[in-house]
Parts: sequence; structure tokens; C-alpha cells
Amino acid sequence: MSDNKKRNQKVYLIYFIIAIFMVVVVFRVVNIQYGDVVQVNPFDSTATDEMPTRYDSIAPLRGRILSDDGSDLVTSIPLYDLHIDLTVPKDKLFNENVDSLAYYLANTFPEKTEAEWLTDLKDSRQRENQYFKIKNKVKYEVRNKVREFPILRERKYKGGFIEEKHSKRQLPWGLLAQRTLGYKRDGIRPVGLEGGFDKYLSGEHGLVLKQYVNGGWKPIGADYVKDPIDGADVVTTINIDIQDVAENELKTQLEAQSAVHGSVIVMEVKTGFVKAIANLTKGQDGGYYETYNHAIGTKSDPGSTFKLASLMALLEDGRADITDTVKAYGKYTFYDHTITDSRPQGYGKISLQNAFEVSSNVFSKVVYDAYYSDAQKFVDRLRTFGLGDTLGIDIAGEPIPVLKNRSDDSWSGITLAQMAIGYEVEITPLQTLVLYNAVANNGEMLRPQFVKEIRKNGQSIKRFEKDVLNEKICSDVTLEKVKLCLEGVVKRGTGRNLQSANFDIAGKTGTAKLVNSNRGYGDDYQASFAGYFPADDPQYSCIVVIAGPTKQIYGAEVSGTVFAAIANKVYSSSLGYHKSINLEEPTVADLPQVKYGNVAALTTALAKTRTSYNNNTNGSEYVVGISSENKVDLQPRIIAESGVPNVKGMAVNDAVYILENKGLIVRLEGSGAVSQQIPAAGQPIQEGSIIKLILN
Amino acid sequence: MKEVFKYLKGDRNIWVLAILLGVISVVSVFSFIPILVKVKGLSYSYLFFKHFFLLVLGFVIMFLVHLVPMKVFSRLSKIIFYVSIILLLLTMLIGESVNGADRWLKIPFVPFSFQTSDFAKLALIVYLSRQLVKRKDQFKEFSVIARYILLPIGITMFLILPSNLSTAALVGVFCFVMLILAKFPWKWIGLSVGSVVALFLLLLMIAKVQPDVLPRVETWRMRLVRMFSDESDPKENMQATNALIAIKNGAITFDHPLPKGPGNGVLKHYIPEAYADFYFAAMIEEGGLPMGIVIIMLYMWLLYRFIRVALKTENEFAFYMVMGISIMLISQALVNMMVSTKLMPVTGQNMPLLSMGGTSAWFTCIAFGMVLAVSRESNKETIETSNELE
Repeated sequence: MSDNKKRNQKVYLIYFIIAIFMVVVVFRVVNIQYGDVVQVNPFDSTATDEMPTRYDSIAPLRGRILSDDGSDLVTSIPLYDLHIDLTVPKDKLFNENVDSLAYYLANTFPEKTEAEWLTDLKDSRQRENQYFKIKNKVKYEVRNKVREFPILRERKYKGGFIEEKHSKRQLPWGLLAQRTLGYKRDGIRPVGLEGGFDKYLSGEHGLVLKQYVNGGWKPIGADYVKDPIDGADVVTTINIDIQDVAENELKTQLEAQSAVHGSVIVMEVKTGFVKAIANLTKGQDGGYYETYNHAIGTKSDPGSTFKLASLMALLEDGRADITDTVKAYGKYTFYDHTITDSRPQGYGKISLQNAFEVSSNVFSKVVYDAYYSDAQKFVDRLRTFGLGDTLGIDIAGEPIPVLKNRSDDSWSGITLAQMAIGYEVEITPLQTLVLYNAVANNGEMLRPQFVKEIRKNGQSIKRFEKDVLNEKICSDVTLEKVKLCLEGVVKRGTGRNLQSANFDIAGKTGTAKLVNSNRGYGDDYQASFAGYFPADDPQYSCIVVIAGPTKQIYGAEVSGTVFAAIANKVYSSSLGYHKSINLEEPTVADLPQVKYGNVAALTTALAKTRTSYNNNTNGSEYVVGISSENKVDLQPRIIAESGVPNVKGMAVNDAVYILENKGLIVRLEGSGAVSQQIPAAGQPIQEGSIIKLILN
Repeated sequence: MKEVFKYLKGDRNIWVLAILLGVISVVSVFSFIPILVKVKGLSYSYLFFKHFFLLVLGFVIMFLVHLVPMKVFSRLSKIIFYVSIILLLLTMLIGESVNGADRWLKIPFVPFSFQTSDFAKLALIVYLSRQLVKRKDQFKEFSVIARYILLPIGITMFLILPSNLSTAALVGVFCFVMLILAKFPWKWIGLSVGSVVALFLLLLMIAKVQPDVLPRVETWRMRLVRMFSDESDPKENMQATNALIAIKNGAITFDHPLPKGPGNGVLKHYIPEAYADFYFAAMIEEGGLPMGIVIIMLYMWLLYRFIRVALKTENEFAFYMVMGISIMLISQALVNMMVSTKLMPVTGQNMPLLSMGGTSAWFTCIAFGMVLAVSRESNKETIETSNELE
């Protein structure tokens, strides 16, 4: 029994010892909680002074800027800065995998060899580097690859992988409308649409609460305090095709003329939407760049294009009519100032319409005589055409036009005569175009707009309709007459070289001497052409301004050719113009065009679009569609059993499916449907060989 | 209640305590879930139901084990021990790595892996209890005790050592206690303890000179060095310090007269293993000192009941087994508490039944079941003897 008693004593002694340990633990807890084992309590939210928590913002993705058909003009692409916190991976993980990590890094980022990566990684771990740089600004795909590398694939908490996301603006079309699209950078006033629509594009920053823990800021909790809201997409009115034509034609002419700068604006007559806007300025190296938005921001003496305004004023005020005979003798003297015609001997006695068409400066005399006694009346009339006001466009940088009043100090005896032919007046090309557009649009003056819609996640959140500045700038009678004159310019006058076989252009040439640094008119010219087309049913208005041409100076030759080229291309590529031809015929165009494809996919599509079709495929998997009068005939597409199948015209996924089933390896180039295949159809198949598809 | 206890034989206190700990465990899981969702990307319901399911299954296992006659354990002790040695060897060779140490063995065809050392500990306790009874008259013969007692302990410790130093040390502790209780000659105890310590020091020396040969040993050495120096270490010291901050954060003061409550602690955001290795710190942050004391009291009460079971039984084998299990469980809890309060270097020991330890909870349940089996049989004896007396 004493044995048992001894055993019990031992057991209770053990219990007692354990109890002592437990008491020690309790004391330790008390000591930690109320003593100074830990100096500060950074988690304690009451100690606001030292509390190292902070809100950090999370940048949203900036919205895209799209063309009128929804293709990207400006997008944000995400870029990543990649680092490793080398103190995070445990010894075993690090030691076992550092070799292969170095191998993969060297493969992806060859700026360091495998051995260099290895030594760097090991040294930095030795130095407890918490921010070892792998690479900055890598693309999404590269980052996806890197984060599957050994160690890094353990991610943040075990592998120490740190990735920081930025986004970079990218213009997929390069120079195209670059200046109008604009940019936003820190510390610089934002420019163009990036600036004008910043409030939509920028989105809202998210918030995350972070705490300072062991030398680093770490997010608290799994959720953001506030999620970032990505920016909305801005759908512009810019049409890539028209923009491309405008820019190329302008560039060709600028290079040919070695001019200083030039601008083109194309506007949709009925909406005021700007379909293209190009600005090219000669750079230091002689090349042309989109460096300044002259079309919007540079006001200058418009020259003869302004005669439209003078003519409208004369007609509207009943001071003259286009049938009036004027004495265009080539020399018009006002006090000590003489204005001459470009043809020194003049044109003789001609009608006012004729004078407009040949751009005679007799207009100075006509206006001077008509408004001699009440010059302010002329200015006021011009103002009713909106010429003294800014347009209030979306893009910053529009200057206030100069339109002198009779009472102004700068008003002189010759001012009235000068204004009549577009001098001592300063307006921008866009402001001039708005007047021409109003004439084309039967007197309704529209604000030029660059954006037609704001979209968020594909949903339209705001639409921009046409914005009327003035419902009727002049009477219909006046409109009829000025239109006649504008058409005459191309038919008989200075714009004869703009004639086109298919459609008529209406417009006005202009050649102005530019104000030089002495505030006088110097030897530099500005050639312009403003107008609209087709003359009988105006769709687009356009202005071309080229400053400082060196070979020729006249508007028709310098700018008119650009105008004509743009008009021709827009006309020929624009379906809208061919309506009249198709209108009469009961049409095949109502049927969707069916090319080639999988039978199941095609029949589904046809059923969805409620198109009737005959299925003559006899169970063939791939079919070709032939549109007949009101039906689509589906015929089997013969895919040669032997030899490489013909996949031209097919959608990529169908083509790849067919080819890979034949045991070929497909390589793709470009995007879109298949336009070419190498080797060609019918060639014998070698399994495992490569077939190249060129897509368009 | 009586109805329930009709089926739950053995010490009722132990049953109640086990269920109480289980309930606390389920509640505390709620507070740990957010960080697991964040770090491991698992879903809320998955984590909750997994733990709940594991625990319920654990109690079923506990119930089944407590019905097993003690004789079975005694008879099977040798086989169980051999199986455990094989499993440990397998773990060394093909084990899964958790936090850089191979501790887990995947069970074929089941989506679980388990820590073989959990099994080996129980196996060794059963085996040792049997041998201490069987060889008690041969303690003087070195060849016998070396072969049947010291060598098995040594092998088990040695096989656990590479993956988990602290578990191996705890094995040493409960074997040490069991040997003392068995009146094992002091000179052999001293000699074995001495040689284990010497061997360990030798390993440390090797690790210091040639760190590449024994990577784990170098980690332990660094842990020990850091424990006794102010040199700040990026990761583990951060864990330890954060645990202290969490405990301080859980202090009940005049400004915060109430504990934060489950789910309101922040420690778990900074320590990946808060739900296991730093359970005690996380618990105190949310429950304050009172919760810490409650937990300690629960464990001490449990230990007391275990000891009562051990002292009550007439069966010597059962006595050793229950004492071994008691020391194993309480030392695990104590290590967790001491690591959490930085009284010890960082190491991973679960709070028995409380931590979210996955399958290791099942082995705790098996251990409980074994104790309850002993208690059930001695209750029966008492009833029988009292019947005889009548």
C-alpha cells in the first residue's frame, strides 16, 4: 500500500508542477497585458497619435476612348512592377527552389544570366532585402507567367511575391488624331478629350485600410473599404477611316508644299459631329507631328473663305443681290490703302455671284459702299451668324474670335473693307467650318461635338444629341443664293480643279496673308478651302487650312486638292451615298451575307436573324451559303478528303478546327477571317506539318 | 441527461469537458475563417463545415474507442508500435511538406493527410505502458531495458526529430514521466536523458559548422539563438512579437471593460498559423485574460480528472497509459501557451481539441477515448465489487 501511496504522491507532484507552469503563464499574460513587455500597442485604435494605420487609395482603370464604331482610340493597358520580399520564403522553400527560380528568371528576363540571378537572389536574401526587384513595367501576360515560377507561385504570404499594378495609356492607332485625343499627365493641364472628359474617364479611387506592421504597410482584412470604380468609356464621333484619309492627305500635301502646319476638320452636316480632325505641324527634323491643335486653338485672318459671311450679310440686309453688277477692275483704293485682285487686270463688269466665284476682292468695295454710313450694322449682322462667339466645345483651348466693333480703338477707315474680304478678323478653322456647316444644314448652326456617347460597362450612360447654336442664321432666300454661289465656285470659279465626276462639291477658296511678327501682313500665306459635299444633299462639311505653303499659295491648289481627295474617298467608301442606286431594287441586301462555316452554327444564326434558308447540305458539316432572291441556300462545302482543305474566307475557329483535325499545326498571322493559306488547298497533307494562315 | 449518459460510459466530467472544448473550438473557428479565406482562398462554408465535420467525426471516434476493452490495447501494443514506426519512415520518405517540414502522410483514396507523429505518440504510450508492466522485474538487466524500452523511445524520437523538434522533445517528456512513475532506475533515466541532450548538442554543433547538411537543425539553432538575443528576425520573431501585441491588445482596461469578442481580433491577419500554433494568443486577444484563465482551468480540471482515472484503476498498464496521455496532452497545451506568450521559441503545437488542426483532432479524440475506456472499466469493477459487498 505504501507503494501505491508513493505513486500517488508522485502523480500529485507532477500535477503541482504543471499547475506552477500554468500560473507562470497567467502571470506572463498579465505582465504582457499591463506591463511593458511590448512597448506600444499599434493595434489599439484609441492611440490615434501613434497609431500607424492609414487609408491608401487604389487606382481605378481609366476608361477607353473609342471611335464612332467602337474601336479603341485610346486604351489603358495594365503594367506591373514585380518584386520579391526575400525574407518571406522559408529556408527550405528558398534553398530548394532558388536555382530553378533563377533559371526561369534568366529565361524570361535575359538582362541577367542564370548565374547572376542566382547570386543576386542569394545575396539579397542574406541582406534580408524585402523589395528585391525582378522587373518593372511588365505586361499582363509576362506577369501571369512570372507568378507561376517556383517560390513566387506561393504568392504573397509564403513566397513573398509583390506585384504593383499601374496602367499606361496606349494609342493603338499611333498618331491618329493624337492631339485631339489628348493626354493627362501629372502636373500638366490635361489636353484634348482626355482633359475634356476626364470626369468620366478617370473613375473613382478605391480605399483600403492599411496598418504598419513590422516595417511595412499591410492591408487590414480581405475587403477594400471602398472598391475602385473603373472609368467610363468615351465614344467619340471620330471615324477612323475618314480620320485616316484626312491625316494622310494632309500629310502628303504638307510634305509636297513643305508647309509650316496644316489642319483638316470633317464634320457631319446634320449632327455637328466631328468625324475627323487632323493637325500636323512641321517638327525640327522636317517631319510632321500632331503637336498642336491648330484647328481649334489657332485663330487667324481667314481670308476669302470669310467672303461667305460678307455675302450673306449683304443679302440678308438687302444691300446687294447676287445678280447686281459690280466693277471688278482689279484695284480698290480706300484712303491710302489699295486692295488688289489676284488677277492684276481684274475681271471687268461682272455679277456679284461671279465676283464671289472668282474670289474678287471687289467685295471690299461692295461692302464698304453698302455699309459706309453704318459700319456697325455689318458687324452686328456678322454677329448674328455667330462669328463673334466661341463655340463652347468640349476640348479646352478655344480662343475668343476677333471681330472688331465700330467703336473699337483699332477700328480704322479701311477696317470695313478689310473685314469684307476676311482680314482684320481672327477666327479659328473650326469656327469658319461651323458657318459653312450651317449653310449646308439649311441655316441651322450646330455646335461641333467630339463625343457622342459615354458608356460604362458597355451600357450607355449618356448620349450627346446635336446641339443647336442658332436655329436659323439667315433666311431661306439668302441660303438659296449663297449655296448657288458656293456651288459656282467649284463649277466655274477658283475651285474648278475640285470637280468630281460623281458628285458636286460646294465651297470657297481662301488665300490670306499671315500676320507676321510686326503685326503687319507679311509674305507668309495661309491657303484654305471650306465647303461641303455632295452639294445637292450635303452630308459632310470640311475645312482644310494649310499655313506657309512654299510652292503655291492659292487655296484651291494647296488646300482644295486635299479637300477633293478627302471628299472623294469619303464619298466612295460611304454606303450612305449609294442609297439612291439601291433604293428601287427589292434587295438581297436584306439577307445577311452567308459565307462559309459550320452548318449548326450557321443555321442557328440564320434562325436567330429570322432568315429563311434551304438546307441542302446532305449532312455535310461545313457549308457554303448562297444568297438567292429571298432565301439563303446552304450547299455542302466540299472539303477535299485528301490534300489540305480550303479554308479561305472561313472564320478562324472553324478553319483551325478543320485543319487541326487533319493533323496540321496551325500558325496564325493577323486577325479576322482567313485570307490566305500556305500551303494552298489541295496540297498533300503531311501530318504534323505547319500550315500558316494569314488573316485580314 | 441521464439518458445520454447511459450510453456515454466512463467519467462524465471528461465527457462534459471534451464537449465544452469542442464547442469553444467551433465558435473560435468563426473568428479564424476570414484570414483563411483571404490567404488560402477557401470559402467560408467549406472551412466551417470541414471543421465541424472533423470534430463531429472525432467525437464519434472517441465514443467508439471508449467502448474498446483495455485488454485490446495491451494485446495490440506491439503491432501498433511497429505500424507507427513504418508510418514514420514513410513520412520521412514520401511525406507532404507543411511549412517546410515533412510531417504529413497522405491517406490513400481519402482527401485527408495526417500527421504520423500524432499516431506514433499514442502508439509509443501504449507500447511503453505494456513494456513497463511486462519488464518491471527486469529493470536491472541493461540488455532487456535497452532493447524493449530505451531503444523504442529513442527510435520514435529520432524519427520524429527531422520534422518536428518540439514533438520529439514532448515525446521525451512524457516517456521521462512514465519511466519515473514506473520506478525505472534513476541511473538509466539519467544516462538516457544525458545521451539525448549530448546527441542534440552534437547536432547543433554540426549544423553550425555545416549548415547545408542538416537544414532543419540549422533552423532550430537559429530559433534558439533568436530566443535569447535581441537580434530581430524577419518572420518568426514577427510572429512572436505580434502574438504578444495581440495579447496586449486583448487587455481589459477601463477604456475597454469588455473583451473584444470572437472575430474581432486582428492578430490572425498577421500570423498565418494563428488558428493553430498561436491559438492561445488569438484566444486572449478576443476573450481577454478571463478567457485565458477559463481555458487554463478547463485543462487543469481535465488533467485532474485524467489523473483520478489513472489513480482509480487497479490495472497497472492502464495507469501508465492514462498518465502518458495526460502528460502528452497537457504538455502540448502548455507549449502552445508558452509559445504564444514568448516563454519559448516558436514551434508548432496544437491546443488539444481547440485548435483547427484537422485530422490531429481525431488523435486527440482517440486519446480521450482511451482514457474513457479505462474509466469505464474501472467504474464497472467498482460496481461489481460493490455488488459483491452487498
